[in-house]
Amino acid sequence: MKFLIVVQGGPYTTQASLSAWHFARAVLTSGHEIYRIFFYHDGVYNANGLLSPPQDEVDLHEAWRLLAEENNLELVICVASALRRGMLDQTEASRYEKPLGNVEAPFIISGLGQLIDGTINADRTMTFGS
Amino acid sequence: MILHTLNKSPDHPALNHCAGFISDGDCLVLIEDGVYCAVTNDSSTLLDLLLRQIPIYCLQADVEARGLLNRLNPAVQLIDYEGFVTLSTEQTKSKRWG
Amino acid sequence: MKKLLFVQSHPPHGSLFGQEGLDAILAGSAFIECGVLFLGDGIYQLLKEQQTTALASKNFSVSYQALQDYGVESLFCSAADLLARNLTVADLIVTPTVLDATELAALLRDYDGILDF
Repeated sequence: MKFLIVVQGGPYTTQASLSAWHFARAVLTSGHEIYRIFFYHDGVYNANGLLSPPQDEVDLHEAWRLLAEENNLELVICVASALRRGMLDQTEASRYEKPLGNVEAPFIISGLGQLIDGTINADRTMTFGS
Repeated sequence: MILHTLNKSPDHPALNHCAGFISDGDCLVLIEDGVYCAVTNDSSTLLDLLLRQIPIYCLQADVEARGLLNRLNPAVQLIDYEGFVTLSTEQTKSKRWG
Repeated sequence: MKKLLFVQSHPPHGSLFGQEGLDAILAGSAFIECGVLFLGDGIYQLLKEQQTTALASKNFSVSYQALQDYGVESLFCSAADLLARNLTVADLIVTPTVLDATELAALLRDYDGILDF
């Protein structure tokens, strides 16, 4: 089956992102497919490349990045949620004349259409919220 | 049939809200702080669901992290994340509570 | 997937769930038949006379009046939730269908997918 995983919580403040990451890994180890991972609300904070947790704690940005790169996954963050919260890639940083962007591939900034497309085309949707 | 996920302890109203929507054929997966709902005698709402024979599951990693392994209602089933995935394939859709 | 149910469970202004949930509903309306269930405190998003000027918060409740223009006509709420909050549909910006507990459970089963906000 193909899964859409929706992450509505940021890293660390609640467990949403950690739970979603474990679930995503289990989808793959179970032999299923991840159609897309969509980050919404505070979930967009997971795309922050500046996350610098203590060394004895899981680096959730890195965890998501590795999972995506090793498995060729789409990590989509909602553009409206992202801009509001200061999650900008280089293009958006230039557009909004901000000094830097903090979002890079495999995190991709895109629209809510990707969320809806996921609910339509995936076989299952699982949402992790705060 | 619906897989209901719940991530809040019984102090939060989510469990009571959720219980009103669970139908025969659904199941309930307690994750994160939701596993506190399965602590023995801590929730009459949970006991009601068990009496209705609604399958209730707890994510083992969340139970272990919280030191609850020996404190849970024995009718609640422990699952790992792969078990969670399997349940989600067996139900037609999911609903998040909390 | 033929129709998608959006569940709004948060009151307005204390968090962004309501406003961002509405954004998702409007996006969904372009692709698929959508319904909206205002559950628990979510019903407060529809309360009339929200005055946000002093708070400097966005009054997104007015956008609910445009839902029909987007083809979203299936709005629902819980009779018990209204009663618990001393509300009637006359207090609301739009007029959702009021459902009892049995009908609400059936509503969840009737839709092909559920997105929670």
